[in-house]
Amino acid sequence: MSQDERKGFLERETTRREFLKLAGKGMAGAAVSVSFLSMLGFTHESEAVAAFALSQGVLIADRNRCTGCQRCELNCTSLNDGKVQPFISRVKVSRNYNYGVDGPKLSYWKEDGQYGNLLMTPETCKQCKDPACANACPMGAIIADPKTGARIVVKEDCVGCGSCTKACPWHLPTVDPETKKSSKCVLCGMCASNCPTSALNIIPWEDVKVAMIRRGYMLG
Amino acid sequence: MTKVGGWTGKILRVNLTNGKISTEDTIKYKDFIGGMGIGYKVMFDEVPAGTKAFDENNKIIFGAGPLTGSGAPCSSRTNITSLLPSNPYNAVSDSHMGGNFAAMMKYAGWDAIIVEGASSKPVWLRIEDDQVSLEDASAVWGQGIFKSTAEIASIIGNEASIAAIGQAGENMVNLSVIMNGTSHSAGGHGGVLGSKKLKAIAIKGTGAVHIAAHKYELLKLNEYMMKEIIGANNQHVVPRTPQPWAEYHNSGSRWLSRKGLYWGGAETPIETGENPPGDMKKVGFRTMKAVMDLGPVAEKYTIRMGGCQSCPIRCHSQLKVPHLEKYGLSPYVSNTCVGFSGPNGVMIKGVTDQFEEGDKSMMGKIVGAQLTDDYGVWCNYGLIGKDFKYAYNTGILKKVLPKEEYESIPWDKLEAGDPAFLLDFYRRIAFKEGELSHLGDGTYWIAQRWNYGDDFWHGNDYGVWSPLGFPKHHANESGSQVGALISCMFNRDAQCHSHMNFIGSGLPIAIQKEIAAEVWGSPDAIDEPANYTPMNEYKAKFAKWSIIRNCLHDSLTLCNWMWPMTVSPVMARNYRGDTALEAKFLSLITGEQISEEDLDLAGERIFTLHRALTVKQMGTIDMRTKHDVMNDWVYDVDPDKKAFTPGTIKMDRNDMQIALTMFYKEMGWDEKTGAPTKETLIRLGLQDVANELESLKLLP
Amino acid sequence: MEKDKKDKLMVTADFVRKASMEVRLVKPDDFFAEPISMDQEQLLDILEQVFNNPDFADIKTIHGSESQYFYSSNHMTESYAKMLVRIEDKDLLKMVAETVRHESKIYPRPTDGKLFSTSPFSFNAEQLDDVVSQLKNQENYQDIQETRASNGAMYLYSNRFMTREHAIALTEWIEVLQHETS
Repeated sequence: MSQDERKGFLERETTRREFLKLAGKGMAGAAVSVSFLSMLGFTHESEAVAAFALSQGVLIADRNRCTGCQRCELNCTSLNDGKVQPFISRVKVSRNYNYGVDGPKLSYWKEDGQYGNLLMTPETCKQCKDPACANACPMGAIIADPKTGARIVVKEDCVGCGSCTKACPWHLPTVDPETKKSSKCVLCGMCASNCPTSALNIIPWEDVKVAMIRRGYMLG
Repeated sequence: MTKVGGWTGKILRVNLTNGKISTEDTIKYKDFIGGMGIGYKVMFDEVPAGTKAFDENNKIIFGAGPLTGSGAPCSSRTNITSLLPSNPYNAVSDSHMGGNFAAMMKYAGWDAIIVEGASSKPVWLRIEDDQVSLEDASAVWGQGIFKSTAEIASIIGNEASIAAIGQAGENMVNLSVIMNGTSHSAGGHGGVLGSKKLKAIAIKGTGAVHIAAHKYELLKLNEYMMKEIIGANNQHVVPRTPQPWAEYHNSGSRWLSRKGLYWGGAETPIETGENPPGDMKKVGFRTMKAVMDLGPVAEKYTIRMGGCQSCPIRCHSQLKVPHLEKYGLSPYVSNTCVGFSGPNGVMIKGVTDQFEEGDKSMMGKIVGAQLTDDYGVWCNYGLIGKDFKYAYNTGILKKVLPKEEYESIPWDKLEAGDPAFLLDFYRRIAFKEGELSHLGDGTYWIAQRWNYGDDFWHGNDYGVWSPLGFPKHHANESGSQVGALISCMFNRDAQCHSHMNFIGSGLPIAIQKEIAAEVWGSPDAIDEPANYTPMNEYKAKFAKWSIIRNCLHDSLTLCNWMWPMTVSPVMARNYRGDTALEAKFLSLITGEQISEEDLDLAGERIFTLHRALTVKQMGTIDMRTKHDVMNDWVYDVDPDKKAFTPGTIKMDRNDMQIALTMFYKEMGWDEKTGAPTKETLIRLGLQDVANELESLKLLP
Repeated sequence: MEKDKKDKLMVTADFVRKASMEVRLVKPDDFFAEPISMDQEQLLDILEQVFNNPDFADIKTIHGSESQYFYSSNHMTESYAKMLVRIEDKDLLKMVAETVRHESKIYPRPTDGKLFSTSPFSFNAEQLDDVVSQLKNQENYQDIQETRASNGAMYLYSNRFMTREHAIALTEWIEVLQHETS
């Protein structure tokens, strides 16, 4: 890495750590407060927006813009698996499409989902500080990528037992029934660059840093 | 089938009479690609002539194709093939539904599902990858589509895609649908499932659609289409209003997005804005269809747009309108186009403002859509309203309805323009209550039953295209003889948008004519709107190409409301689209190189098979006088004007016969009768079809 | 010296580009004012270089009746710029007539009266009615004719390019029929 690249990388890392502290939950995937988001130029009013920390920046998933086209899933597996298989997509929306995250209730017609209030949520890995998936894996096959910090599955070591899926509170890692290997979000950003309504966006760390300094969350 | 990309290689066959569930190899149907192609071949091979739609011998095929579920834009379309009860011969037709169902079918490992026989008690078909079973549906039989879907989902799982019929289908109403999602309905075949006591098909799929090419090739092709080729709904390529990035605009364009137009019902209103080509992340904002379908009042109720898996266009409006609760309906409603206006057509005295100024453009449509989507009633592409209007206006209803029934109908609501009328009307249709409910039989049958006069068929006010009882659907008003020919060729309204999308693209006529010359051989293939010219061979080529692409799309499957990509919104491309794009996607995904011409040949094969089926089912080769017929109003409108002068879209009888002859020639059909010849059938690889027709003495 | 000259070209071009992004045409007066602050001779000199330099091929000029205007084709098409010019010229009759003639010729279609209350135009219904009645009294605008759809909406067409029969049929189609089913 060149001197400049190193500097950039460290600055991005610093911003990312400061961001994670601000988000305050030890994992950067929960709903983020209004004031914090308005700092980034988002003027949404509630918990409709969730934020995830990628290596290049913050991944914001805005469910008000999600139209359920599922192109995020299609592009995710096309790029990462060379086939089209939404079941193992690392961003998950088709499983929430019909009845939201919680599934059909008696009051389905007003709950989340296409059969209800028409809202659906693209979910992806929160890159937990203390990942339940990694802790549960009997083979130690889930590690932190040295470059990005993402929790990734090392395919060679995975035996497809599904412990990761069960351990994750959101059941995000998925074992591919064809290959018997698990996979999870590797922070490639393909979902965001292909979303036709910009429901998924990556805010580069450089922009986050500027906003945070301006607001006094960081020293310049 | 040896492992190629695209197809799964497996077809599911379910026999409801004996409960047998079996698997077949798709290879048998490879020349027919998938979807519609598989459907017609199964119907030709397995369903005897003379079978009626609700007979146990009828079959119904849910077909997907090699592109379904592949991530190609606009590729989750299910083609459903069966006999059509509203057609006088119960001739074959295809119906289509978008949504997620077709893609899920592929991920479960199936290219098609063939349903045959009939169950003695209500069942639903449960498919979880290769685990297939028939489940007891008695708990949901009698419920609407929305409730049934939720109940079945609670058994099979949240993520399943479920296609179901409502009470209309259960009661074997001719005009009934099969629907998945909340708005993706296929018209005409609901009663077929009802006659088989099959309430729903629910699918969960965890598998893959495999891609033969290197992933970067596919991603590159997707990006090319998303950045340079795709426009808005119906492949309209100019915005509706003048915008700085665009050379042209058109007030009829479905590229509605602009500054100051919002998804107003979102938690924080989201501006649709200006979305010039090149930015993949904004394509989904272009088609703000709610204000087009429902009027300006709908903007503030539009939560978002939506639609089918893999499609970036999002042409189904998704609204929350609290007023709907006053009718005992959910405030959440979704649909598009005739899914709104068709059910509303029953409000023959118009609709008046109900809750706020201007809501009359919306209320009848959303009440109608909500009701018909739950009951599963079909509108016959809007003709049900015209059937009703005629009976009302001519006093027929007073005559045919028993006094008690007549007096029980809330006519005052109809007269007042109150959409509450529809609550009563559609309940009667769905449950076959009384004489009025025979409007659910469809135009041909009701016109017979209630003795409709010539003025219904041949008068100007009703738009009944064919003596077979279906309406115009992008006919001579869309491209003169080209649209007229297309409208004659199927056993219901043609459902072909290939020509209409091009004609309505919004580009100036000079550019359209240049492109027409490039694709169909001469600028004379298209006329100026409302300034038509006599028939010529290039119009016949255009008509043939349009239908063939439509058949291809229903086989691949791709959405014909978007494809083909004849034009593009990009000025630097001189607005040229890419008509080889279907072939490019197919080649990449399957790994088998196929040219545009060879793919069109497959489409020709599929469409000729449809024709052969129609000949067989009608028991005559005389398609020209028995099938390809238009009602008089098409020729007799504007009596003070001559055809082919500026200001009229009327057709000319002699010219139309010439048009048919030219079209038959293009197709290689007998020029006198319009029936497929032995030579053509053999040329297209349909030797077995030729043999069958020969044995029935149905070859010209 | 070279670098200085180049900078001036870039500044000039970017000034035009920024205006086009904000959907504004640039007039010569805008160059004389802050922050560019050129004089007439400097402007002519710079412009000649801009138009001869392929790096600035997007900088275009367009003539109105009173003034010359500049825009960037990176952010605005020529036809949109023409619309803005017609508005800038403040000759309302000419603006309506030229727009109507253009649409009657190239699409061909009669012009929806509502176009003139749609951005970038900003008439209200009264203003448009006023313009239309004035057009009827002007000799060089006699080709501009009016039609009405069955719902009363007003359309305009030029009989240089379209017959009355054609305009009437298209008016009804555009305003009413294309939105109906069946």
